[in-house]
Parts: sequence; structure tokens; C-alpha cells
Amino acid sequence: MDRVEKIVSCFKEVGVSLRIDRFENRLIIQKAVFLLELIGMKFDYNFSLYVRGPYSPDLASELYAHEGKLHNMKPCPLSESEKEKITRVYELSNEFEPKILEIMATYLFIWKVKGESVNEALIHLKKLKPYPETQIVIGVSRAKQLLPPTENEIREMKAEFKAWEDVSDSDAVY
Amino acid sequence: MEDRILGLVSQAKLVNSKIFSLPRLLILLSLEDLGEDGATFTDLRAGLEMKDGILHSNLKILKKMGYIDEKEVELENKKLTSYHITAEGKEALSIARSWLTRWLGRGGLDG
Repeated sequence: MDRVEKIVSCFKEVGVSLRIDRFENRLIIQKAVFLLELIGMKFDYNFSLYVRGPYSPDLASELYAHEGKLHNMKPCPLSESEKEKITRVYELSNEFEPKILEIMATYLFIWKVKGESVNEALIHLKKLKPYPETQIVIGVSRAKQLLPPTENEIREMKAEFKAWEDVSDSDAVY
Repeated sequence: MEDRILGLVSQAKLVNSKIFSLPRLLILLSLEDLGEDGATFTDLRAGLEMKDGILHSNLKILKKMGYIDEKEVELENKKLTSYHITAEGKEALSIARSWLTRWLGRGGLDG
């Protein structure tokens, strides 16, 4: 099965027909495939951080190359683990809500791929995706549910939060 | 040295000097990467850290030059404008890139 067929199968698994005729659909595919790669599904697309967040020009070209055939492609069998992964991304993103997907993907790219700290990643995310705070909070929380922090990252977070708490305690004295 | 300069002068005739503005180069490079998918005003403003006025005026100039075009798109039931690089834009960027490479001395300044 080629990788576009695999994407079609993933989307069909959650009842979504793969279409690229709309801007919104192309955004959903890019972000969902990035998230699936990040949680261990093998597509082997190279994603980089562009002005639109994580994006793969190769994925875009392949989708355009298959444009007329996408909705007729028959789904190929997916493993149980692959089915579980696509269902998790679908449910956590409120059934592929574009902005939630964008926030999840961008935050996880900055945090997990670029290796910025949790706080730095949040600041960077807010710059790149100036969405309402409520959407940011939901997206970041879903991203952390999709890819929970490692023990090492939890230690770093605690150290970072402690620095903030210390500043806040010292402010309270005055 | 003279030959090098003359080579640059000769190649410079192919370059549209209006492209040499930092915002315009950044916009074109960003849109080149995104191909047919393009980017919205918000994507460009946030990603390139540009003020509304600067982005707006440079998009307008690039559109007038024929280097970008715009389409109306929809995101979560909201109508947005998406910007895309044109074939002319790609060509102009490629010529400018080649000239700059030569100017930097990395492309074999052989006159």
C-alpha cells in the first residue's frame, strides 16, 4: 500500500472521506498526518515548521498528484494499533476541528521536534497561532494527552514552574 | 575584479529590483514553500512577525507585480484570503536567488 492509500484508509477508519478540494481539508490532512507520524505511525514524510505550522511539501504534492482518485481509493487494512492511533487523533481534535489540530500539531512540533521547553513552546505557539486563549488551552491540553510528557520533561517542567513560583513568592513579600 | 562586476551588472539586467525588499523576499520564500496550498494573511503575519500595514502593502505590491495571487478560502465557516506564489513569482525569485548567490561569491564569480 502506498502512503496516500494509507492516509485514505486512516481517514475512512474514522468515517472521513479524504478530499483536498478545500483549503480546510488540506489543512486537516497535513496536521493529522503529522500527529500520526509523531505518535509512531510510519508515513515517512518530512515535516518542517512553515508559516502555517508543521507542513510537508511532499505530502502536498502527492495529494495533488492523486487528486482525482482519492475518493475512489479502496481502504487497505490497518493494524489494531494504527486504528487506535487515528481514532485517538480524531477524538482528541474534536473530530478534526481545524484550529484544534493546528494548535496540537504546532505545539507538539515546537516542543517535541524542535526541543523547546514547555514554556518556550507555549510562547512560540501563541506567536505563530494567535488564536483565542480558550482554543490555545484546549489544543495544548489535547496535545499533551496525545503525547504525554516524559519523566525527564516533567522534571524540567517542575524546575521551570518552581522558578516562577519563587518569583511570585518573593513578589508577595512586598 | 572588473570582469566579476561586469558579470554581475550583466546578470542584474534580468533581476526585477523591486523584489529586493526584506518583507517581499520573505513573503515570496514562504509562499514558494507552500505551493498551491498558499497561506492566509494571519499565517504570514504571525509566521513572519510582520505588522499588518507592512504585510498588507507588500502583498499589494507583489500582487501588482503578478508574483502572487489570492483566493477566497473558508476556515471554520469564516471566509479568509489565501495567497499563492505565481509561476512569474517563482521565476523572479529564482533569478534573484541566482544573482544574490553570485553576488555573495558562492556561485563562481567568473565574470
